[in-house]
Amino acid sequence: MFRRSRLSLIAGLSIAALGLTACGGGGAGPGADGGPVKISFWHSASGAAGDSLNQQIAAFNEAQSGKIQVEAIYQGTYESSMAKLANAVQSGATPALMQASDIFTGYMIDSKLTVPAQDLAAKEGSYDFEDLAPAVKNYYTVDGQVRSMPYQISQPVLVLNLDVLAKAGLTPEDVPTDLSGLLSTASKIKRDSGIAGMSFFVNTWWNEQFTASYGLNYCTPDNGVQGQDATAFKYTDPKQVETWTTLQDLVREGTMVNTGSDATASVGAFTSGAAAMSLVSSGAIGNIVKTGVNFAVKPFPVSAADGGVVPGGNSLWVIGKDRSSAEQKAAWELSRYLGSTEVQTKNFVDSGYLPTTLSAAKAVASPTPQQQALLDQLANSKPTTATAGCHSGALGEARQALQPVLESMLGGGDVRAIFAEQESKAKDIISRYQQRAGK
Amino acid sequence: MVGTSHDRLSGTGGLPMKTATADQRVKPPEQRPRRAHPWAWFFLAPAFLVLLTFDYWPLLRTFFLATQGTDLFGAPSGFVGTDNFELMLTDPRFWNTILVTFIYTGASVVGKVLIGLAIAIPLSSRLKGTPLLRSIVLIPMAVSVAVAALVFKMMFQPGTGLFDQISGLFGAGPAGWLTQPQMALLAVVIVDVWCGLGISVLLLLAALDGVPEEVMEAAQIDGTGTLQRLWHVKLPLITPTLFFILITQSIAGMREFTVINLLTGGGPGTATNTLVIDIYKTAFGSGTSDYGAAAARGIVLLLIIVTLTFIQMRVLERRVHY
Repeated sequence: MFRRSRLSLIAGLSIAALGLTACGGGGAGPGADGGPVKISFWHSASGAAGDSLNQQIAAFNEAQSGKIQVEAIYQGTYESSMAKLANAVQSGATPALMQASDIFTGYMIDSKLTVPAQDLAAKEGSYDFEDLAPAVKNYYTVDGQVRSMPYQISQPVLVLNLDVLAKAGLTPEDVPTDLSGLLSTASKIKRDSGIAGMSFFVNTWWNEQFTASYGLNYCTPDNGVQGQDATAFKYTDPKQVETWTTLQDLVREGTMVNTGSDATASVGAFTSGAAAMSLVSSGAIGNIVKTGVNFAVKPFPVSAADGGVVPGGNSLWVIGKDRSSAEQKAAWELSRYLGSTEVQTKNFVDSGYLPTTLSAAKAVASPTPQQQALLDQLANSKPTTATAGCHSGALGEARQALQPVLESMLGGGDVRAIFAEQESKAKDIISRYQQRAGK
Repeated sequence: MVGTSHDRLSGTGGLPMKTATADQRVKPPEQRPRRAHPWAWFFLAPAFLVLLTFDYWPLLRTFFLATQGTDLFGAPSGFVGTDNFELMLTDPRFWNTILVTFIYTGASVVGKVLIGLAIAIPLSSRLKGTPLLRSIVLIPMAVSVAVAALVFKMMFQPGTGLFDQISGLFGAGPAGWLTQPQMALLAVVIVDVWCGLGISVLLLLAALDGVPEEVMEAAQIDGTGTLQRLWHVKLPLITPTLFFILITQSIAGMREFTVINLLTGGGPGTATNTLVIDIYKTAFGSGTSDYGAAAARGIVLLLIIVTLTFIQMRVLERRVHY
């Protein structure tokens, strides 16, 4: 009897201990026996992009056999992955390499957890940053230094369901290249064919992209990229207000299939023929190709001469805190590999994420028309302050606050008044963030 | 070993009966002096340890965090007094969250009780085929809530989902199940009711089965109709179970996370943003982990649940017949 209880006690304590340690994800470091340097890599890549990443990690481990061993761990969405990183900092179990989405660029710098990519290149192994596509380099350069390795870069694009478009008597050439023209075409398709002109998922990312397409800064001053921290967000420019008012109208008249915040459902409405056009991330192209739908890719509509798109996606950050120099070196080696021409070309073909370097873009053999359209858009993107995107560590929180507002705003309401209120709240968010960051 | 004839008659299957003689011989355990159980605390220790680690320590930590500022990594950055509460209580979005939480919980509890009764009452009859129907009704209990939510999400898809396909047959357009605020709230309530219906039906069936036949027969002899017997006899006799369901499902509704997070994530807008979802978003949603603000919300949730349970106990218990 006592023996059984003692066993139960031991089992209970073991379970409790396992529960306390199960979330640890830090790099294991160099083996005590002089074996390979083991590092962990936290990422948020799923679907076609995740499959591609796993293949790349397997290839890297094979090539570095006996020297470096990488454990790639999927940590869920970017937001939950970042929340786990914050916890890991407290427990000292940080990964050696972290994939973070574009919007966390400011936060990663403010966190002081990371080692700048350019410093690592100078110390641990060179990388040709001049080969980065100008628009990509523009986004990931802060205070004159490339801070992280751009990895899966995406841009917003317009996709056209050619079969549905034909039912409305249109060809891809008939679709205008500016935003208001595009939205008018969506109404025309609905009127002429009875099929919704567009599918759309609500995300604050679109607000940022619409803003850049007008050549405007999303946060001030200077999108936070000219040496001064951003202190406010800009939501109330007449162009921003006009765009969302039009989107409201399109939802009301049934011209636009509004799938809420669900991007997959929006792509689903497009591929199933429930909508003729859709605004998507280039990262979704790989999944659209898999459905076999007859589609074309057109550039994201740009409405001003100095406007463009913000190349988002994600980049790789080598963590310095709690990680040994051997681990940092190994993480940088993996970063260089994932940023190489070979991997970037494969990444593009597998998933639709854009090649980060000029040489990788050139190396794409016989691209499909859809792939060529993506490459053209990236090559034509102008590196300006507006297309550098807002670099504020508070962008994540500002997005979280704005997201529900945009979702409900599509159902109705005074767009200008709603945005004005949110602009004021966003200012408080930045202020609170600065306080938390000790700035 | 076969029991005595006395044991068999009493239906105890051979176990010694608590007769007067037995009571004299065996002292009830609760009356034994504590020193008679020197190992008791040792055996209880694992359970206490788990309770302390996973229940009471997080609770104390929550109270501590609610009074703290939070740095960029979620770590406490210093005492801020009631700042986190003031920020929360002066935000109109917080009060909307409370309202949504009550609407969601109320609707789902009412749904589980009323639909549960509507299913359990006919199933409690001794008609042919009811055992099979009972099994079928209880199947949702075996389905993971996450799986159910994802399946329903597919059925709610605009245009292509099952529900819109069916309504399309009658000439109706897409209902916007997950994109229209009222519809989204209804949708998450439907899924929550579906997921929780099994346990409600099971409890109600057990209660209905426990209603003494002789009481029902007496009521019938007195000339009451079926509905009268149901309203005046059966329902009063199962009030302890109804009371139990109301309390436990109210608490469950207040704390529901999976269904809402998977179906709508609190949207569209703030239509389904309940307090638990708000806590999650504040703590983890933006990636910067504002644990102080989230802990303050957690304490509000705790207070609401405790108060609600207390009120239910005081008000509803008067109508419960034990």
